[in-house]
Amino acid sequence: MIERKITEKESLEIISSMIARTQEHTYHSGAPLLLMGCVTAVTAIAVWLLCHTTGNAEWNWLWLILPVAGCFAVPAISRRKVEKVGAKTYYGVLIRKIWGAVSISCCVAALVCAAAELFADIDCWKAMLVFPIIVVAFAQIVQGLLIRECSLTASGAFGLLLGIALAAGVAGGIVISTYWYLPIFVPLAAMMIIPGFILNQKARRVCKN
Amino acid sequence: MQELNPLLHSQLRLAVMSILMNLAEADFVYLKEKTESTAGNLSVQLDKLSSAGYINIEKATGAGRPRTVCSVTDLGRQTFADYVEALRTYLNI
Repeated sequence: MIERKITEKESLEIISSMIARTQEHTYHSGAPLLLMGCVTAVTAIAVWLLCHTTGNAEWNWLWLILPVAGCFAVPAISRRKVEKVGAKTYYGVLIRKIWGAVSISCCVAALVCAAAELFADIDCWKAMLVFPIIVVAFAQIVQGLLIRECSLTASGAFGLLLGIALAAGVAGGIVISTYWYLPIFVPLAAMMIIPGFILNQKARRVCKN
Repeated sequence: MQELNPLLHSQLRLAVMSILMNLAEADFVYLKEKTESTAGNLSVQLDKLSSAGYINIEKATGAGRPRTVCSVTDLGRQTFADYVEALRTYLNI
């Protein structure tokens, strides 16, 4: 493109053409969802196995891997994508901020539960079973609506329903043991892995074109 | 009739601003590819836009290599909106 005098009509054409070009090769990576889905599944299986084989509930601390992965690994993946594409979209920034808030709120909730147990001898870890499910599901719904990905919105809605049902159960006094981990968290992990896989397939198609 | 901003009424600078208005940020390589311009010319036009306060230029390092990252400022956003408004009156749309 060279520097020359342009007419008003040409100006309009340049603006339209550049807007169209920024839409090209725009894709949403499913890698963060795939990573978090896999980490959730592996952690759930590991905690379940270790708690049952050793009988030691301290293995539940392994759940902290999830917010840590959310705080460090996911932003690193997103940064790599921005460097590869060379541009950052407003949707991308918004989605990163939403997931950042989710990760931080889960870390804070875990710290509050730990402090309640250490300083006041109050066991409120049940809240940690419900809270992350609800906030993660909510973030999935918002991301799905923003990028118009039905599979993500649907999986978020499933997670939200599960979270609400669990919250009702916990509030109603149902005892939730480690036996519940696999039937709760493995489908939840699948609900992240499936849309993550779909998004990656779509991204691959966009990159090919 | 409102006059068209001479700084924006240029092929490459308008192209850069149109791209940056749609993105939170874009690096030099991305802008060069999308505008199909030469590195030298693009660099000069980016400096002009930056001097006018329409865009921010930051040097970032990613994956071991330096990147020049550009983003539009609030002033640039307002100026671009005014330019489009003026264009609408010129073209009667």
